[in-house]
Amino acid sequence: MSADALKALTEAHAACRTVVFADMTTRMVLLSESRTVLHREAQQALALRGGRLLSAMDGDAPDPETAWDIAYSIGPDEIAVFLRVPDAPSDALCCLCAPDIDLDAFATDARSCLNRLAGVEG
Amino acid sequence: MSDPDRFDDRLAQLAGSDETVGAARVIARAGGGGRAVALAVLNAIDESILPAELVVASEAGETMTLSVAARRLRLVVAASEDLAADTVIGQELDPEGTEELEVVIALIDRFARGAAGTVVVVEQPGEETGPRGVSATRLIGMLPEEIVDSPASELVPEGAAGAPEADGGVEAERFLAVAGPRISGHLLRRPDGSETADGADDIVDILSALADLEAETTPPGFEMWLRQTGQPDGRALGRAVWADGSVAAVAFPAREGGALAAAFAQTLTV
Repeated sequence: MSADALKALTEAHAACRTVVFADMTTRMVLLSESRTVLHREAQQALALRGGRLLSAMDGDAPDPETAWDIAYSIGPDEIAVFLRVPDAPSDALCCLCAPDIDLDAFATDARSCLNRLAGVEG
Repeated sequence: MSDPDRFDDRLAQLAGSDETVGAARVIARAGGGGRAVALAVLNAIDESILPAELVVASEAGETMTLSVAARRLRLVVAASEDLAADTVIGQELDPEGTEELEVVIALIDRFARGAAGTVVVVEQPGEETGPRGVSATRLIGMLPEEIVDSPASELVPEGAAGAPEADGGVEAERFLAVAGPRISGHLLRRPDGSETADGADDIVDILSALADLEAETTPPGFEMWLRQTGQPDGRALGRAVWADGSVAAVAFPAREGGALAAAFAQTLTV
């Protein structure tokens, strides 16, 4: 089940508060998992924020054919992690985490989760 | 801010109310602490445009003669015996020569810690041709931790060019000092709009665009862009903003993302 992938990600990382899987082309939130109640508008806002951040520096990607595929937004109280698949850039995973998240470990697991949802190997 | 505006701003800073003693300009007072003295020396280098020799002296009787140009330290021409670091005197500085740069920093550190009374600089015309040298900004990033952690109020010493309240960027300076060894280029935009940058020209151009980018979060915040599925040494970008309006844009190898996030977090907890 696709929803199980999000649940597994939040369960594996206690500091992960919210995960949203969204289609950036249609700007639709397809799946969400959150430790607290997160209204639809908030989910949508998180997805839009992820889309803006992920594409903000596309013009300056090191290789024109391979855009940035992960972006972080780190604040005093929260870390937002946004991922997309290079081969399917409309699929994005948007996550909100507590500041004590293990960034590298979480990013690896989030990538795996996104690849499963997007049907990408790796 | 447009380029002409930046130039005017730079000229206005340089035309600030310097305190002079004869031909010497007072750049710091030893009472402000070692950090203030070390930063004043490096700021004097950072203010250089034309090739010049800066003779820096304190009332402790110690002096350093530095060959500078275009905001870079080319070489240490001479230093007092007590400060002597024979391995770098007269040696052209290579940006890749980490060991010799550490010797230079140690020299400035010794001068700063041993300074007494006022610290002055006398500027003389230098050789038109010479080595490119190392940027003052990079040397600031290499200052020892205990100096870096000195009180923020000492960033701009009393009597130095520019008004202290117009400088700011304390957290940004601290971030770059910690991040220095991990980044391949940076651009620092202070609250007053002044900028310093270090890195290859194409990188600095990207960082300038990055600094102009509208922030997705309310400051303070640090945004990073990486290619997770690429090589760990692949280029990544980051942009940190603080509540005082300062912005630091950095380029770094992707593998350093976690460490830079931690370095940014440190600026929020000090």
